[in-house]
Amino acid sequence: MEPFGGEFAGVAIEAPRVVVQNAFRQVRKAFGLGVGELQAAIEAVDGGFGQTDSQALGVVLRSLWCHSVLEQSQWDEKWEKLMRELAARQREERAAQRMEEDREETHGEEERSLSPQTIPSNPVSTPSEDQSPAKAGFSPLPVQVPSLEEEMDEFDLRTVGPVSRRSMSYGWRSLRRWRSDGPRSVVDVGATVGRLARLGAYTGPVLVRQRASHGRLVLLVDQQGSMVPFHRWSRDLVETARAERTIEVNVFYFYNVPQAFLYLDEHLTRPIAMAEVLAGMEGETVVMLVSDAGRQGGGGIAIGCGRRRALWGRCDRVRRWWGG
Amino acid sequence: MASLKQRKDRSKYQFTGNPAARSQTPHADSPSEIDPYVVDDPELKQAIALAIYLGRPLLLEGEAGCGKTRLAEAIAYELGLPFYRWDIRSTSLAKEGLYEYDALLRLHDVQLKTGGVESGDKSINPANYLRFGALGKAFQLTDSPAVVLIDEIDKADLDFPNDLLTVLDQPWSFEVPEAIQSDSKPLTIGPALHPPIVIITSNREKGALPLPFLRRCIYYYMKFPDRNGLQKIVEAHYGEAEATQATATQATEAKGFKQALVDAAIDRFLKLRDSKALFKSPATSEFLDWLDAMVEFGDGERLVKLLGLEDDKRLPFREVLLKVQKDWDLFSAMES
Repeated sequence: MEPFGGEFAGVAIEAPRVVVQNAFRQVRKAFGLGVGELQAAIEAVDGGFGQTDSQALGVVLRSLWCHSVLEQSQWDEKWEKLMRELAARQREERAAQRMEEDREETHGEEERSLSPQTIPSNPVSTPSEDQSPAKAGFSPLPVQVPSLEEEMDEFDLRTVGPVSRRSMSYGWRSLRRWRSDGPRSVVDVGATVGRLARLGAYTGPVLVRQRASHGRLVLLVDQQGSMVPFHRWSRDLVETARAERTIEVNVFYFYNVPQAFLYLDEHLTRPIAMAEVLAGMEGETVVMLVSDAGRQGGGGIAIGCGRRRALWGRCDRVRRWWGG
Repeated sequence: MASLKQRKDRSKYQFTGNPAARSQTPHADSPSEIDPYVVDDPELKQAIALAIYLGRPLLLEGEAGCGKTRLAEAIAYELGLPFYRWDIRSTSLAKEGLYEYDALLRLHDVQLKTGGVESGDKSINPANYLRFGALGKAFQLTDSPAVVLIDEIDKADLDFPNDLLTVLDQPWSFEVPEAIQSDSKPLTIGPALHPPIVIITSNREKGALPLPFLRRCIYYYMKFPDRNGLQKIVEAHYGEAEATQATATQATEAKGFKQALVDAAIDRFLKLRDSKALFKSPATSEFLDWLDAMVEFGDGERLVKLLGLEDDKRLPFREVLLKVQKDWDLFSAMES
């Protein structure tokens, strides 16, 4: 194993490969890492990256294992904690080793003269290959090195809220309503070849109409009050819907229950009459309502989805999450 | 990821951020000239080195206008490597980065031939109707890796990054089913002798990229340059111009005047961005244009004074910086 010049708080850190493996075990779940990332980190270390000190190694692992600013900001803190724990563990191991050496030097002869029967071995001590019953009699109380594996799952950076942004983006796709009603400008290669086979001569390409999506969505979002804990999440919902260019999205906000007036902005300052909103909807418009109805349901939020006619009676599908 | 042998071969490509260190024998497809580009952060240099060494894509994120796109060109220029750019559109497919097959042109040529018009033997081989994309070209290089820029990946459809995954890894090859060979097998491009150095830019406007894709990438978030960074960018852009001044005195005078203006402009520009009052914040290229406009058309001393005024609503050459009416209305033009 290659020597590692790194240290933390004055304590030399073990070889970088071992550090990488330890770190991987601890942050694997939280950062959603796979074996490929471990392999990449080991190959980078073997290639000479992050060899100078623990900070340099931390930066290399951050580049390889963090994939957002949020993860990067969490990483530095985690890495420092990891290095602290490693240094503490090594300090303890060395202290135990030194104590063992001192004891061997001063009491070596005395220990050898004692019979195994007179001093019982410590039943809770960690067994080791070279530990004879005689040695166990004078050994310090067993030091329980804390297990570093899989203990840092107190945070999960992969999703915020009940549905991730990516799942939202996928969800909006189901609202696409494709119709071939654009200009006749797309070459249909199959039909062109088919016509050529039928006629025996090429008479020009077969053109078909361009496809366009006619999906429409009206998103009604409960805002402020008891919905404040969900603001970040509902903002993601609105942003991902607006980014889906194949559907036409209109977003309106309300407070607790949609009434005669809705609002165009999330601060509820620009009202618009409900009648006006309804008049703008067409038959294919999908309405989605996100609300906790002023915590009437006990603190969860519900998402209802349906066509226009079902809006105020009942929603086609309702899903509820608890939180906040 | 690159194999052990490939990694060893690639460790000779070290990007330093100094265009003067350009390879003496650049590839024919390497950029022949480049605007000055400042790489200030050692962490970015290390991320580039890791991406080159491990053969993993480098994913660059950051707000618009902080220099993500131009980094790839700067790398290709300094290392003398071929540069292939792939601009992603909302309709882009992963296959287009590899190749496009012109079936209609081939059909047309076959018809010409059967009709007795001489069109050569081109139509016999379907491979003649292939047009290779950025990755397709990069996979066929035999003497060095190419730098491939996949620009604004999040403009494409959601599945696009996943479709790229299989291509950007061992064995670095792909098949062209349209071009069946004499042994009844499709034409295979690769395995690439030199896997490309792939730089991907994103601004996450559309939602998160898929996790399996992110796992394969080296990640770097590009921050907008601070005061020192902007100063270095200005020096890099104007250093050459000053060197061409006729006399040493002229150069010194010009430098002194320009420095005062540059300092005042940087202060005002950063204040403007930090105020968060703007709907669309100006980027570095707009800052340089703004500075150019002031140097070329403005009254230097007056501008320095005006830029230094606190809470002044006059902004010289606002048309260069502000591109949205809402922002435009916040400031008035400087009276001539």
